Amino acid sequence: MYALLREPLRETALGAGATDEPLRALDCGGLIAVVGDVVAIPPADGDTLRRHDAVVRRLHGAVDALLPVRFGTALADEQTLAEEIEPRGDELRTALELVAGCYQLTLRVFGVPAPLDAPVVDVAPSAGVGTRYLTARLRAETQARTVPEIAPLREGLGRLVRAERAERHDTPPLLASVYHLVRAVDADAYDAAFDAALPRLTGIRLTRSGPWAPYAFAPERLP
Amino acid sequence: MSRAPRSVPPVISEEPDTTVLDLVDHLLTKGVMITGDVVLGVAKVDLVYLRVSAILCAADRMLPGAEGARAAIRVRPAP
Amino acid sequence: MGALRVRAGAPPVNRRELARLDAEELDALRRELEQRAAAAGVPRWNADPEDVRRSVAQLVLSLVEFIRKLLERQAIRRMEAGTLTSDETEAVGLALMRLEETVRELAARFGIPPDELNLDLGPLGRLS
Repeated sequence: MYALLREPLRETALGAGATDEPLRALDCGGLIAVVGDVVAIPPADGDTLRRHDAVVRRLHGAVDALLPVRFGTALADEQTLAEEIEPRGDELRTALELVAGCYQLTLRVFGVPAPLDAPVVDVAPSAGVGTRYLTARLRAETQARTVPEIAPLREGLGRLVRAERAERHDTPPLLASVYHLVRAVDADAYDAAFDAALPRLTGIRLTRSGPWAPYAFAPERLP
Repeated sequence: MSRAPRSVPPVISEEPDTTVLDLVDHLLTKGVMITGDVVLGVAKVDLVYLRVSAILCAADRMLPGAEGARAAIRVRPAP
Repeated sequence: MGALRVRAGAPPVNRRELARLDAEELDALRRELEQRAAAAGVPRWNADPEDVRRSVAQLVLSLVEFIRKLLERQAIRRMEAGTLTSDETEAVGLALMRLEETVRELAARFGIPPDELNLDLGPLGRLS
């Protein structure tokens, strides 16, 4: 399976999949799944992944809103597909609305991590052990997804970033991966703002790749 | 509203190595997850294939005036 | 998709801060991503007949750990949203804390390191 859409594709736009299999569009309660029939999932080597991404990229170019599906997703039949997709209709539609008209840029952040926030004094002194524990877990969870090191860049970009996802890493000097969702119409403005903000980053090196289909903006599976 | 036809722009990348890493990241660890299967076995022999279709919801969204955080999990073994 | 221009044609000065990765950085990137991608593919649990007890313990603890993380996440959401009373927050926090300790102790007793408790259950998997 390659992608989920919210509008049908012209037959001619479907084309072939990564193993040259013909692609089909299946309607699942209003959402469209683009699939290809294969005997087995090919091994995930560079070549296969490149071809798979090329298919996703081509489909992305043909529609307004698309969510890539994880590589290797294979289902026995259309019934199974419908059972998996239909209950999640709402969250998938919300995600499709978010990514409509946008593409993703992938940033890798290298450098020295900024010191962690000082303990926040938002727990009452009388708070018990359990409350402190949950508060500490909340802080840890939040910190795992924030990358304060690129704050100057974020400030410069402002609303040109429609949405951001971030993951901190534990493999120095790699600090974090940050994914930006950018409207196609904002492409030039993002470029300019990015270049302007770059010199304001100290002690940080950055790489950027893209545009990509919005891989990092799939809805979270869990509540 | 009509959409201007879009051409697919080439990928910006610098080294082939980093592109492959981006592909690995995007395709293998991102994207919509649909299937949830677990294969159980013994002595490296796969014996049981479990299709784990779990519908997990926040209890306070599902149960009006929820008393507690009870997640509803449905696990169906493969036929 | 957007009309983002290919930067390969841009003059060198524009690419200066867009780093060409040095060996160390590239290595770190490779390690991080290959580590995470290694979990991709159909998750398997395979009981080792040489040490079935340990295998079973690993599976059971991984499942408990998974549920614990799920509960913790939901508890945090509710705490943030203010839909837990302070008594509830305290009680839930305490229970989860003790559950975490218990899992850790049991794992240690079976010689299972913490990073082996991350059974990636497909779509349910990305909690940690």
